[in-house]
Amino acid sequence: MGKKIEADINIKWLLRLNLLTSSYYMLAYLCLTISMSYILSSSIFVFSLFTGIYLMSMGIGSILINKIPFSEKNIQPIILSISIIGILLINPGVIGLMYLNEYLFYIFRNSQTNYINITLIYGISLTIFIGILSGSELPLFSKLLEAQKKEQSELLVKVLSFDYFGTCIGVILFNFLMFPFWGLTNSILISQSFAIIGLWFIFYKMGVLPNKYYRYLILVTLYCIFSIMMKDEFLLSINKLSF
Amino acid sequence: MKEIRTNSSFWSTIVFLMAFCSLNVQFMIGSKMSYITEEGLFIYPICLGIFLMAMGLGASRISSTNITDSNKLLKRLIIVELIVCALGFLSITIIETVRSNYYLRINAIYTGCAFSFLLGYFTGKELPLVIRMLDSQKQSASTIRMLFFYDYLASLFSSIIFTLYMKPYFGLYKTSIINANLNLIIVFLLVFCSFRNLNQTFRKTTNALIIGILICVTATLTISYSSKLDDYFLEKIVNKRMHDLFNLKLVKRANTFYQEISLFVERNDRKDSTDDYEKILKNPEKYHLFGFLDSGLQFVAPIGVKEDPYHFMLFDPIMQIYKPKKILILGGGDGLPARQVQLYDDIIEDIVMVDLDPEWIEFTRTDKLMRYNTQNALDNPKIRFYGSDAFKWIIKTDEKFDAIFVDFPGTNNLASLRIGTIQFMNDLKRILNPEGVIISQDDVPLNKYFMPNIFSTAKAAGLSMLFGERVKSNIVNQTVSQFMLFQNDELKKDYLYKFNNQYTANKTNKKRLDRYGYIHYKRDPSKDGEVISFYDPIVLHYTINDIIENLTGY
Repeated sequence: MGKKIEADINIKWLLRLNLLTSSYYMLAYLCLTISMSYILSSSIFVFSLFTGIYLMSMGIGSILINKIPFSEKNIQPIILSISIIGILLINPGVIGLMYLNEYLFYIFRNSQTNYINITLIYGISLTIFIGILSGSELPLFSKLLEAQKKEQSELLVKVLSFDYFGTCIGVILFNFLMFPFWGLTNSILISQSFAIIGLWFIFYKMGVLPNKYYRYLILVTLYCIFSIMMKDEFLLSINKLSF
Repeated sequence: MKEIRTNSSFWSTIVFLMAFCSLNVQFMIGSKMSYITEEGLFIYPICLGIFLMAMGLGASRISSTNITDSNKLLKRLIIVELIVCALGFLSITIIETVRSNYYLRINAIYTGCAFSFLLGYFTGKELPLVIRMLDSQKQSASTIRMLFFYDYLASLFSSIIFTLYMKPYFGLYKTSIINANLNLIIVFLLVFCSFRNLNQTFRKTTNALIIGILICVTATLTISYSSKLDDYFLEKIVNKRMHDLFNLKLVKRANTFYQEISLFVERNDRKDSTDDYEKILKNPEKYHLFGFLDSGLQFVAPIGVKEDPYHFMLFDPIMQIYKPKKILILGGGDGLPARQVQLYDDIIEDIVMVDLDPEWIEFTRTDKLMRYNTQNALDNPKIRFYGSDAFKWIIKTDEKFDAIFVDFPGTNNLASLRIGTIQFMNDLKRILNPEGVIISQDDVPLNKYFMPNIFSTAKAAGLSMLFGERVKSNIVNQTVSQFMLFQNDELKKDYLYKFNNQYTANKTNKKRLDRYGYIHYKRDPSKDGEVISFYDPIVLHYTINDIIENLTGY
């Protein structure tokens, strides 16, 4: 078990992980902005405002990650843990936004309180969270390359291109496949499931998972199937809140 | 020897302004594309994704080059800035020109995406160039970190200033002019102030001086003539398309927080019409008025008549059969529902109107032509206005209504597709009297995906739905579909009976129906559909084919 953890830093699979996470963050960001524009009913306003916030928090992320002092050994675990945090929290956070909005409708339906502000603040903080996570990726990779002392510029360009390719995949998948065919909630659930499977697969290939975790593969798969199956129940439960 | 200034506050200002301008241009392109496609949710993410991706490409291009000479880098930066300036100045105009000259929307969309890509590519180069330049001067890491900070701050600033101030107050054309001038100021600063030793530089860069003076002159000229340029764009570009296609003449354009309003007129005899209000109002019967919100047609009406086919079909059968006393109109900022309602002034006691955009209502109420067209209907003391999102207003209200009229802009738009959601129907049911009726109408024919789903949704909400389609009349050549919601099946049957036996039997009604077009009620679909949720209005009818069909249309 110990040997597996101290295995060499696996640049090839880390790059693929970067591809996965960057497309996932883009997808999640688009899901978030689209649900916000349903709620605020002005897509231009939401997209312009949230893009600014997203870019700003990407910057904050890259500054923050530079402030943290860590040694060479820690870089790979940090990248892995950041991707775990991102993939496990962001899309459920977007679903939480929908629940929150419906719940606030329900609570404030007969009062004059402007509950939309609460939803807006939640949405903005979630955007900042996504931005910080996706902004911290590139500096981490450049540090990793520095530590590896390989031909820097060539590899850095590779990292950059993987990152942008991931963004591109996210945009194309979301706009031409997921959103038009499956709708918003389905795209969130399906992308979440695939991201978890992808994450597990990459971890497995990198050899970071100790042997005993193999058996949890079945759990991960079950979770994904379950979340797709529960889709209708989930939609209905959102609807019931507003009755 | 020319030396680059290393003052950190100077470079911070430059970086701040650069990021501010570039993002503004991207927001402008995104907004323009949303206006053209009428579907911001689909096109805005695409433009944004292309922009972000191209930004990365541009940045990686710079990081892979090996130039270390700071003067060369500065030259590159100036060229990049000039290109961004030109892109910002021309993008909106060119997109609109393409839209005007090649009538298919998809061409304008390709152009917009290409502009997003170019803009992203050059924007991505800006910050790395500055950093390299300062790196070559051996600046400390803290100065460079400050630059990052200002870059990110600018993105926040531009998103707030653009959405809340620039777009609503100036509109897209003026914003592009102002933005281009800001860019020119950056170029000016870079040319004149980026060297430490001004005297030496002046002699050696006479060329730059000439360029600078030219820039100043154009900047002052464009700022002082920006409104005239704005008019010029409208006259030559926007107007041209409408003129070529439909012989329309632009008479007024206004911007609100939510939308772009344009009014066109057309002479009935298809001759070239005037854009002078006074002349139009002298002979109003010679003109038709066309109202566009963003780029979607909102209404067509002969000026000054008492009713038009669209609103006749929405109101008349219900008003005559049920004689409702208290009615709710959702949407209808164009004042035409209010004009129609004036015809039943003796029946109605209370009217509530809810429109998303209060500025649009104010425009209808104050603009001379709109006032004449609506016959001052919005001054009716019985009408109460609420400037709010209809979907939210009906949740909060405790009032009950005898009839609810839904007059939203077309269901080819995701935001308005929420009409068919279970949440909306539940809330409508709550504020409807037991004998009441809800009617919604749209000039987009509801397709096969929509029908079964919306029927099942109404069933789930405990409402009974009747679906009708108006066959094209001899006045306006369009198919209009409508659906009505009743509290139960008995009321639905009762309405159908009364419509077929009493309403159409009346001679005056028959005359109007002959003129405006008959309505045919359809049977319920045999198959059950899905219940439509607030967050999935997409299941209504949006498949990829529909979207492409919508985008490739005129």
